[in-house]
Amino acid sequence: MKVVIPVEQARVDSPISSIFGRSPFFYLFDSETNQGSFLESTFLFGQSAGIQAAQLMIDHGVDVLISNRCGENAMRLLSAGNITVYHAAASGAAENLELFFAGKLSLL
Amino acid sequence: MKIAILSGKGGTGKTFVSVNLSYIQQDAVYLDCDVEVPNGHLYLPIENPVVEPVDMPIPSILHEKCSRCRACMNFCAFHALSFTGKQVLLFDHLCHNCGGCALVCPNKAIQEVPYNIGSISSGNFEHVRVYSGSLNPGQMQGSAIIRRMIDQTRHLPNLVMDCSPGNSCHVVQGIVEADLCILVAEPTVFGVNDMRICIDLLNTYNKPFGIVINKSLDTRNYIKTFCREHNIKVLAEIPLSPELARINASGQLAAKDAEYSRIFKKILKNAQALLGPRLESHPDSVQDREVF
Amino acid sequence: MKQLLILSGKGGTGKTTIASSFISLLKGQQKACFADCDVDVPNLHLIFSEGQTMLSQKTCFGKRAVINQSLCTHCGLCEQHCRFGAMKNGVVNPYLCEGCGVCELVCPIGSGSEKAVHLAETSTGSYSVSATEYGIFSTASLKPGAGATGKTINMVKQNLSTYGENAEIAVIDGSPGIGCPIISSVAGVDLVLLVLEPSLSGLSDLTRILKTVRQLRVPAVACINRSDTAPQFTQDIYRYCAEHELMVLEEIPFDPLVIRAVNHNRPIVDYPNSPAAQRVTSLFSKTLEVLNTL
Repeated sequence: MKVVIPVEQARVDSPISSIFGRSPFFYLFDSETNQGSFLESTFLFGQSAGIQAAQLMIDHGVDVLISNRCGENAMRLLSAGNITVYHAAASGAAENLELFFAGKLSLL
Repeated sequence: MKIAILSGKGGTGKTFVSVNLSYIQQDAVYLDCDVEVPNGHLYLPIENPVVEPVDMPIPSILHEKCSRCRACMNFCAFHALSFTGKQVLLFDHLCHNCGGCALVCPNKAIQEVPYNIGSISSGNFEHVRVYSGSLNPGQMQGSAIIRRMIDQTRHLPNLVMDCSPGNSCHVVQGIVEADLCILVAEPTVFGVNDMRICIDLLNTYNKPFGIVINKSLDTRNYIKTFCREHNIKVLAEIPLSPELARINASGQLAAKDAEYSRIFKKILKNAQALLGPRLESHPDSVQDREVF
Repeated sequence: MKQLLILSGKGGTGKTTIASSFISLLKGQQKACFADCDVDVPNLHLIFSEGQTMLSQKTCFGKRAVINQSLCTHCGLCEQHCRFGAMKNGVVNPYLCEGCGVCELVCPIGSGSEKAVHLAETSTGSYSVSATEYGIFSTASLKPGAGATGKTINMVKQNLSTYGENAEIAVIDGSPGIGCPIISSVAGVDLVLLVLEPSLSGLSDLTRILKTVRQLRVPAVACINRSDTAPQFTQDIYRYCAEHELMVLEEIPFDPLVIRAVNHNRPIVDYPNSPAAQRVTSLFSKTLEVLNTL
C-alpha cells in the first residue's frame, strides 16, 4: 500500500503541510517495501495546484493520502482515482503514518 | 452612437446612468453587460421577454476511442483535464472553451458538446430595446454572453452598454465596441483611485471618454481637480441626493421626472460633443506590441 | 488560521469600509493578517498606507499570444480558431487573449517558440506582501485589462498563508460579482460575510451571490449597510435571509462620517462616536463569535 503525506520539508520529521495542493513536498511511503521517498511539487505557485497534486498521486499509484485541508477539485480527482483520503491528526509526518497504520485516523 | 458605461469602483451608479440614458433616447438599445449581477432589467422590465440560452462548447471524451496519450491534458492551459488512472476527467467549470483539446487529440476522441452557462433575455420596455445577459451562479466567466449580445446588436446605431465594475475582460468587451466611454465616478478617495485605473485602460484603447461625477457633495471634490489637471471632460455632476437615492433604490427611472431627465439629456449632449471631429473610431486600435 | 472573506455581489455596498474596520479592531486583540482580493481595483492599501514595510514584491505573469510579423504569412488560421476575438487582421489584442494556445497550435509557420504565433510570458501586474502594524498585508495590482484575475487572487491568498502563517485570523476584502474572482477568493475560506444593500438591485444581487456561496459550500452570514436609507428593502432582505437561512448579524445606518473617514484614509471605527462605527464594532464581535464556532 502506498501512503502519501504532504510535507513542508523533504524530511520524515517534517511538519505536515496545511493545504494539500500548496505543499512543496510529498512523502510517499510504500508499506510493501517499507521504503519512503519524497516527491517534489513543480506546481506550487501555479493555477489548480490541488488538481496537479492529485494527478501526481494518481501517477504514482498512491492508495491513501493523509491531509489537513484538501480542495474540492482535488478531492474529486482523488476519489475518481480511487485514493482514500484521511484526516491528519498530528503535526508531524511520521506520527500521522503511525496513527494511520494503527487505524486511528478518520476519513476526511 | 455606441456608448460603454464603466466605472472602476462598484456601486458608483453605472446602471443608474445607463438605464436613464437609454430612456431619454428615442431608439436606444440597452445592453446589460454586467452579466454576473445584472440590474438593468429591474429598471427596464422587459415585456414578454425572449430568453435565449447561451451555451458554450465543452469537451466530451469518447472513452472507447481514447488512447490515454494525455495530449489533451498536456495542452490544456487551464488544468481542466485530468487522468483518473482509468480515463480522462473534465473539470467543466475550469474549461475556457477554447477547443484546443479536440484539435490536439490524435484519435478524434474528443467531441465538443453544448454546456449552458447563462442566458440573454431580450425585448422591449416602452420605447427602449433591452438585452439582459445573465451568467448562471457557479460559472466562472461571462465574456461569451457579452460577446453574443454585442454580436446581435452591432448593426444598431444607438447602443448603451452597461458594463461591470473594474477592468476585467468583461469590461474590455464593451470598450472595444464603443465609440465613446462614460466613466461614472464617485468623489471619494476610493472612487478617484479606481477611476484612475479605469482611465489607464481607456487610454490604452485610445477611446474618447468623459466622466460623470455621481453622488457629488459640496465639499472638496478630488475628481474635478483631477479632471482639470488632466484635461478630462466632466459630462455632468449629479449631486448626492436622498430623493434620487430613494428613486433609484426602488427600481424607478429618474428620467421619468422632467427635472431629472435634463441631467441625462445633458450627459448625452456632452458625450456627443466628445466625438466631435472624431467621427470614426477604430475599435481595434490596440497594436500588436508586448504592451506590458 | 481562520479565514474570513467579505463579499457582496453588488458593488459599492461597503466591503472595504467593513474590512478595514475589522482589521483595525483586531489590532492588539488577536494576531491577524489581511488581504485585498479586489485585485482589479484594490483599495485596502489606501486605508493602511502608513507604516508599511515591503517584504516581497513580485511580478505576475501570464501567457499571451504574440505574433512575429516577419514570419507571419497572414493565412488567418489563428483568427479563424480564436474563440475570444483576440486575433484580428494579424494583430493580437492582449486584453482579450486568454492564453489558451490554440493559435500557436494551428499556426502553420515554424515550430515551438519559433512559430509565427506563439505564447509568451507577459507581465500582468505585481503582487506584494508587506508588514504593517495591523499584521501581514497581502495584495496585488493588476495591469488594467490584463485579465489574470483568478490566478492573481490565488497568489494573493497563497502569500497570505505563507507570510501570515502565525496569524490566528485572516480578513480578506473581496470584489463584487459572482464569477471567477469570487470563486477563487472563496477557496479555503472558513466564513463569508455578505455586506448587503437595501435596494431592489441589492436584493437581486443577494440572490445570486448567496446561490454562488452555497454552491461552494462555505458558511455565510450577512449584514445590511445603510439600512435606514430604504427601510422597506431592509425588511425585504430580512425576510429573504430568514427564508434562506442566512443570519443577519447587524444593520449599519447611513453615516456621513464614513465618507469623511474614507477620505482621510481611516477606518470608520477610528471615530468611535459615529453611529456606523458602533454598529460595525458590534458586527465585528458577532462575526468573530460565529468564526470561533467553525
